[in-house]
Amino acid sequence: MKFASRLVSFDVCPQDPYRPMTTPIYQTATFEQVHADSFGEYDYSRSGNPTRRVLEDQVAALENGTRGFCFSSGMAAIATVTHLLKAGDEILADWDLYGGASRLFGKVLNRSGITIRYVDASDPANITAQITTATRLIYVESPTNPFLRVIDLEAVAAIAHQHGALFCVDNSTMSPYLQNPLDLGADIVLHSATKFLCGHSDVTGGVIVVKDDALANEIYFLQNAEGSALGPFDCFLLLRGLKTLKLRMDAQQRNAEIIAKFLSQHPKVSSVYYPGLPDHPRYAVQQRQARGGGAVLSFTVGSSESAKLIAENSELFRISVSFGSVNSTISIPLKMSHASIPLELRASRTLPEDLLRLSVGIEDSEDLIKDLESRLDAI
Amino acid sequence: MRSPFAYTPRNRPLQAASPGAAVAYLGALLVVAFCLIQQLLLEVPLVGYILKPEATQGAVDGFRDWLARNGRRAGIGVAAVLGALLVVRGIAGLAHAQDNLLLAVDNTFLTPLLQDSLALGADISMLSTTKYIDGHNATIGGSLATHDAALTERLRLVRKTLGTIQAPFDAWLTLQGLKTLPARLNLHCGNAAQIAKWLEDHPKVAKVYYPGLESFPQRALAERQQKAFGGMLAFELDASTEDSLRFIDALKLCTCAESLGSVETLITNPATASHCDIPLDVRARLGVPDRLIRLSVGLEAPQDLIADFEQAFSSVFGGAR
Repeated sequence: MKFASRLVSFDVCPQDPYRPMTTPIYQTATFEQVHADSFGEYDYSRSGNPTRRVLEDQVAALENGTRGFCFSSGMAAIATVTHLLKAGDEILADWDLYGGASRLFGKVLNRSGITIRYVDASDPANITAQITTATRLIYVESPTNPFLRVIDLEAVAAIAHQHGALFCVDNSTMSPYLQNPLDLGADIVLHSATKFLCGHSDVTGGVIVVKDDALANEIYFLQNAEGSALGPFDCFLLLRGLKTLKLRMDAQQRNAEIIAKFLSQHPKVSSVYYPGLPDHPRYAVQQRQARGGGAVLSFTVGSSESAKLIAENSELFRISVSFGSVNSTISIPLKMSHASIPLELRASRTLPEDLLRLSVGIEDSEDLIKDLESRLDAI
Repeated sequence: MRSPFAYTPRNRPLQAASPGAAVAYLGALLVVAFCLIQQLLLEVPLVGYILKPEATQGAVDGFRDWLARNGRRAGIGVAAVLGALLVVRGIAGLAHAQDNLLLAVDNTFLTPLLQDSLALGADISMLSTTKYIDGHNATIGGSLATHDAALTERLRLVRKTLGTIQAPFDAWLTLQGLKTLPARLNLHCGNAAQIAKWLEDHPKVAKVYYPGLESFPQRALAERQQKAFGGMLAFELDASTEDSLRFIDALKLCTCAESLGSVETLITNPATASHCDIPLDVRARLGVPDRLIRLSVGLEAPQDLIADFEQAFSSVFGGAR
């Protein structure tokens, strides 16, 4: 089946006698058991819940994995992956990461004796040069946030596996519609489900999908032991939002391409970062491993004052962290999504103060262009 | 004992329910609370020590020795162990005699209404809100409360970093449930007292664990430390584990399900349910017999619950008492 069909044609309610068209919300903490010493399929919602199970199976299917897991946030999903590690292990990560991930790696994991080193993974040779016997996990986003750098996932997966390390890809900026890291060799794909999977800014959630049974069992053990699973009502909202993923993403990507082209020709814009533009340095890699450039892009406008003016005065682009919603949003990463990067790392990352990030929504592209045009004219 | 139910929490129930607490947080889960404490506060690998339940003074002495051996590399988490109460104030004193040592109490069985752990000296009071706080088996959740503003900030940061938050809908359901907590607890305690007494008088019951019974070894401590005896009890039948399990299966009104603290009476066999992940030797040290039956007494009329027990006794052991 094609992706569009898979989004809406799946068993929304296994074994339900009434055959509802949407998944019922099993808002229950516990489940009655027939016997005191043997348990049915579900016993306690921390360990498993039918609403969550439908969502977990669906995201696993969409990512071409075998097992999916849903968490109370994207960070809870990332934290769970890091709990596969033990003291003395090392994470090798691309330097351009979501601020929350940097904070977890740099300020929490160090307490458990796990070290983190950053490399420029857009050139896989840097990973080969930096990997050590202690490297247990290679962690990247692609395209990265906020610079939309593209990592060659197949190349990095090969290096990781040569050295016995796990390879984890945060696929939040692409969604399973545009990119399937497991097919490219990743061991773990994760999402902030808050973004494109949900698409409506009404759920905070996270997703992990794997294709290896032993790894799946370890992730399940952690999800159950740490109690970080997503509640049934939010699972329902995610299942609902997910059905329109392709429709939304097609519209959002089309708008993003138009906006990226417009911005790259505008005299007041100094740089545009968007992997769907042919002059993007890794355009060919993106073309090979994904189905487009996505709907997140960033650009610089010369000064932090100009950036602030554009963000605060735009009408359709609303200022907010997060991305992937049907509404267009605008943010200044230095002050918003990436403010939590530890200071020592922020110096080496050189996030420009005039960098604006757009998450392009499903509005009419002419309205979006008109809005940006008048904001740029005003500076 | 002064009635704890005279007081009804209103606008900010969790904070009100734990008087003077700087803040009360809903996190994703109780277990997460332990994880938070481990990662945030201790900054060392978590070391476990199980307080022996059988003798309170012995437990405290053993713990003092253990603290002396482990020094500052320790944090204390205290969880309720069925069948034994722990002297919170005494343990808090020991904890605070060491630098940099915190006492966290799992207050799930009693809730802040029946035991104010923070006032007794705990630094952190932890609740599985899934239980009495929600009270309707509708959500999974956990909370931490503390008086300490600096600790609050650290907990807030780690919760944000780990992303272990509770979703708004579940927080709302929990708040709805919380409104009836005082009324529910009142009934839970009253029903549990009646059931405990009835079970204790039953010839097929070998032992009942309920702090409100005269036979409970630490009843005086319960009276001093708690405002009521709670809605949880455990008992052993004068029968094999196998027959005890058949007894649970024969019950019709009591639901066999994990969890506790809900409006419905829930019954489990801890050895196969809530405590099955605990290694056998640890379970033996905790004093959890395989045939032990745990009862979370609900809000049904106690006569109906007793009738259910009677029919289960008859069906498993025959009609004669």
